[in-house]
Amino acid sequence: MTGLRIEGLTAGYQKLPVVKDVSMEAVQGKISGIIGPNGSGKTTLFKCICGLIKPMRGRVLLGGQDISRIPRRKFAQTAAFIPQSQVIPFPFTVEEYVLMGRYPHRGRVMPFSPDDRLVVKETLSMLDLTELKDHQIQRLSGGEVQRVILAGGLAQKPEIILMDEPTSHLDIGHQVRLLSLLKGLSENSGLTVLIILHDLNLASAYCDALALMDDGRVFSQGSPTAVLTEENIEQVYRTPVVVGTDPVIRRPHIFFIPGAVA
Amino acid sequence: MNRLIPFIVLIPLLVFALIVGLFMGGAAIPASEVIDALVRYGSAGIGHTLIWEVRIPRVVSSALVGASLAGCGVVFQAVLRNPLAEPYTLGVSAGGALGATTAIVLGLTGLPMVAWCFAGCLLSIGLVIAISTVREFSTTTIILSGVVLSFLFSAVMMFILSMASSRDVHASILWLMGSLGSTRAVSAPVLALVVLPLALVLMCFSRDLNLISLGDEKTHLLGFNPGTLKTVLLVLASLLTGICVAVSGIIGFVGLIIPHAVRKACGADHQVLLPASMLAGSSFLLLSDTLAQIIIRPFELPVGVITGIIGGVFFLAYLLKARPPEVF
Repeated sequence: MTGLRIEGLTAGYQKLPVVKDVSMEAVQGKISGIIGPNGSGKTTLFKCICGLIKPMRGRVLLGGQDISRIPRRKFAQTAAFIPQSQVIPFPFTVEEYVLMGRYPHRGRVMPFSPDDRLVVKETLSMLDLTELKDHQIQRLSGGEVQRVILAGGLAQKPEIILMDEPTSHLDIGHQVRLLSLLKGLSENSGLTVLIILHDLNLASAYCDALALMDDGRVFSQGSPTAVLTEENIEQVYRTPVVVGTDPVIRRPHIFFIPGAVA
Repeated sequence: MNRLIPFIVLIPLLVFALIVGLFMGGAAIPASEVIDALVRYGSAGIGHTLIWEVRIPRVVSSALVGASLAGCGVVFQAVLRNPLAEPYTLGVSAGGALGATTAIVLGLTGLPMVAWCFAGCLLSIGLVIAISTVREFSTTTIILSGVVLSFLFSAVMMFILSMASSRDVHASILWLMGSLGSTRAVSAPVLALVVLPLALVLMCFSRDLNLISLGDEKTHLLGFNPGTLKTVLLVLASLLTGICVAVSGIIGFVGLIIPHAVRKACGADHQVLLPASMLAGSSFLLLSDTLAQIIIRPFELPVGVITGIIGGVFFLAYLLKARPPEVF
């Protein structure tokens, strides 16, 4: 049971709360999406979940256990966080970077097992990176780097994965492939996914549940159909839109109105 | 298999450099006499004495100091996430030199002098970190604080020297120029006893160095404690620098060029980079020191002059060539 439960969480920097009294849940084996405008506290919420910043109030439960009580390394064996970007100042190769995902399982000096090598190999092939494995990350394109960072997280073999806009630099082919891969992992291996997305239509198509954040608070949460309404979007994003229905999967689809600003 | 190639090249190179260092030096000793002294320990003769009491300790010290300086470079670069960091550019050597000068003027030798060197190194790395925390950890800040601290420490050092007796001044200047020749505060066996365990400890931190070089966040997310780790690594590297400065004065740039070249050749993974850099640093300093002894025979150049010239030119070329994002 490794769902994630956030209860009344308030967090921020220098006593200034950025996330305000947020409660939500990421159910095991489901994809939960977080959407919301820039600066609405999504990334801060993730950092707090990962223990990068301490909550001011409230708590985060991973598999029923308060994360402040989970040792750092145990947490890293259970949960992976994929940041928006990663500065890589030295010429690491793709394979070296992905292998680091095994460190939480092996620690400081224990040699890697054939099992670790297999995990890395599978992860690389899953993300279409096998051919790039000996390339220096510094020389790859933005989209390729994003897939490498994700591969590093998946190589941790986490039970829950938190992703901060993993699709922002990807072309639509890789966007769909990546989200379909996550959907497969969540359905088949019970991976819990909590994902920040900017593309509302991708969020609608792939997420089982959505939370819409505004100014650090949860403005609305529930199924994509319940959250992605014209009123909610117009109020939070200050942009009038038309919500239709996707002809294939029957989920809400958002249409922008060029030139219209609320 | 790929990961073994650097060692297949570097270990024979080190053996070669050791042999060159044994057979060539300030005094011209015929090869036959060197071999004779090596195989028949205890025989009489000037050649024998020179080999066992001058060359062997000197070769051992050079190898250990070269390995330490290159290893420190690797660690400083990873922790500060910056390829231009090394004991010399960070002003850590200057801090050590200030400590050593103070010790000389106070009439201290041996381990107390090492302690002063170490304190000086810790002081300067502490100041670099403090400045970079207040500002940000960018290359500019780090290199500038290194330059500023070097100036500051030299000024204080000159102040101390201006008050000192001419004998102490002479001793300090000779020592500052960076040389492996004269007997130093620490003998070769003691140096080995300090450097080898420290090097082993640092190698156990190879994975930590990989993570730390990718930033605090990545380190934290993979289950390691970045704060503790950085402090431990910087203190270990400063200790190693302090010992080197005590033994050999200021030998600049070894910690910069060697890790850079090794990284170009074998990649950034510290599990290979750190030991390979140490091996390469050993060979580099051994060969530089041999060159320093024979280039203007019968006189001897301070080895710091040779590494300083090679390193300075390299540093300049790097600054001119590197694209802005690399320098940043």
